[in-house]
Amino acid sequence: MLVAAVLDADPHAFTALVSRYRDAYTRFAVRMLGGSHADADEVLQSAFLRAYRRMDSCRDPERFGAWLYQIVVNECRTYATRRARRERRFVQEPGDYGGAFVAHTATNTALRDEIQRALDQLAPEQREAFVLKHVEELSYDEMAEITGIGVSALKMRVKRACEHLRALLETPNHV
Amino acid sequence: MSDHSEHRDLAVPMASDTSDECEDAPTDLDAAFAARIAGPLRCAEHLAPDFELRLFAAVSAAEPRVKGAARAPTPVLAAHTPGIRVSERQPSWWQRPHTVRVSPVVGLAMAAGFAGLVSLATLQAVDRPAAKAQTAHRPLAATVETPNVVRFVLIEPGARRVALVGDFNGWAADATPLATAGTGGVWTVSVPLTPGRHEYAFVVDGARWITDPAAPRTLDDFDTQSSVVTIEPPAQKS
Repeated sequence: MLVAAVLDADPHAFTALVSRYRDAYTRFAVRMLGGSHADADEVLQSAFLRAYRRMDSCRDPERFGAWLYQIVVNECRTYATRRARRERRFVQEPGDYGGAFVAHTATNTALRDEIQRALDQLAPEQREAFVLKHVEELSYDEMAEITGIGVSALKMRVKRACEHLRALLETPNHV
Repeated sequence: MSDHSEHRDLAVPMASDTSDECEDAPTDLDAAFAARIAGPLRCAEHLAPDFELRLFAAVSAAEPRVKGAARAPTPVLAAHTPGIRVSERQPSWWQRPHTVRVSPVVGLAMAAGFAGLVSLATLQAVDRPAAKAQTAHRPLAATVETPNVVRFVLIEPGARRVALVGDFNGWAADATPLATAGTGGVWTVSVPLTPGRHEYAFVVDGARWITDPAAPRTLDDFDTQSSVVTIEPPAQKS
């Protein structure tokens, strides 16, 4: 019944519905895409349009948010992969962020930028797991539902992400 | 719960999904470190104010994936057409009106009253192409066909954040934030609305409830004022 109802997709209602979730996914996309709002905008436009076209596959309206999150996560993965192939923008020069977290001298914005740059150094799967767990504060079960990855694998990715970030941020002039 | 198998085809396979499953889970040390560095990353991020306009244009131009009967070209109109049985014009689950809930923020705003009203809000309705001849206002932000997208503008120079609440978003103070483009205190958001009567208000800094002085007002059962915007249905073709 619900699937049949969703098939009457109305652009007005869809856009209004998506606007409820937009900001929640914007932060995730920005964090996953090197802090770029332009890239996040492009990814979310693509993700929401894809969701509209696939509304008939959302079988449980009570889980619409999680369903939409899955699409956003996958769009971010696809976009990041394409972007990585065409440029190497995340490669940092030595000393760009080394010791920033230890020194505590940066402003909040600068500190966030430093952490974002360190985050960008992680493998995509580690960055995704770290952001979902510690920035979006999802449970491992929620992460598993959204990513389609097992809880134990997600825990290990988070652990490795933390280790890598600590190496990047807590060791002065670490490369 | 969602059906994973249903969505699995959306996933882009990640490398080495299972190679690391035998290792240890994050430690308390990891959690403490993560908590320290994740804080700065949790600040809100916002996209351009015209995001909804562009999305609506893209969605309107897209063909939805529909099984079974063809989608009606103007589903909103159909819902208002006499003679159509209720069972034929039931809206989708995501179109149906939901129970109005008053969030804690709005509750606080009600308690705080309406003091400090220093704003001017205007509405600009961007109507359907068929009704363009009857339109008094032209859209400011829309350069594409954007049926029934309403642009809400609030001038509130001292605000740190502004949200639009209304019956269209369940009166949720975190659902529809307004964006400001500069230092002039002009806050805007564009929201697609279905034809009909809608009640709304602004919530400034999460605590101050502001009605729109340029729009009609109404009182709810709790004597709380809200503004009213009425979206005319598109002109019927004769």
